[in-house]
Amino acid sequence: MGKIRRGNYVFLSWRGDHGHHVHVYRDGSFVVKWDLDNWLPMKGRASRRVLALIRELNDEGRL
Amino acid sequence: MKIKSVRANNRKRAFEVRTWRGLLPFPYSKADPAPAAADQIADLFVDHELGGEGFTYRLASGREGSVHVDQVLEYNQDPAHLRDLLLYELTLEAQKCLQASALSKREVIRRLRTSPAQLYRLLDQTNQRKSVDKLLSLLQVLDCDVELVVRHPGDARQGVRAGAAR
Repeated sequence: MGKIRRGNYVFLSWRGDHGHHVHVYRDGSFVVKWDLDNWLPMKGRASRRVLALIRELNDEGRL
Repeated sequence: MKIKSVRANNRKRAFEVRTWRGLLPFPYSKADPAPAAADQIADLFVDHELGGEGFTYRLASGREGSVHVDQVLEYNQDPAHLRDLLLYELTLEAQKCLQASALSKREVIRRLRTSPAQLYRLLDQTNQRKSVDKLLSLLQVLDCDVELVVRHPGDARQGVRAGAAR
């Protein structure tokens, strides 16, 4: 899975034995690790903008 | 966790990821797109866009892939990583149990003999600096049965699973 750049953020998602997650970075800094199965943050905090971008990418089937 | 360096070992058909915990292998077959003899790795580097927590590789065909260190830790069954995942899953179960419970938060706090701040800390799934022990106490207070299944390496499915049920 390749990383995806959108809205100045970098998204890297993967599906493991313990669920489907996406890691979000901005300017080389960690922003949030988001649980796509339960739709909750696992680490860090997501702003409304980040959440909107995650939802957008998820709807496009890119995560 | 930051990656110090990464290199491709074509003989072992695996990436070798160096972190402060040591050298961790990650097989090509687990990567997407997977490097192959017909499509070898042309470029490989620790990706600073990913905060140094991942690496990116480019294949001869031009296709690109990135791997996060969590994938490497999960593949290597890193104990600290698995403990964090267990803690997260137990926290989600505690949240569900609390929602379904007839007990008020005040009553839960009283039974746990703790402070409101500690209860909210236990219910925060992003907080990884709490103990499994405290979460089990919370689940007990919420009348949830916790079942831990430990599978031995010889079993078909490996790992530790935890779940809670009311």
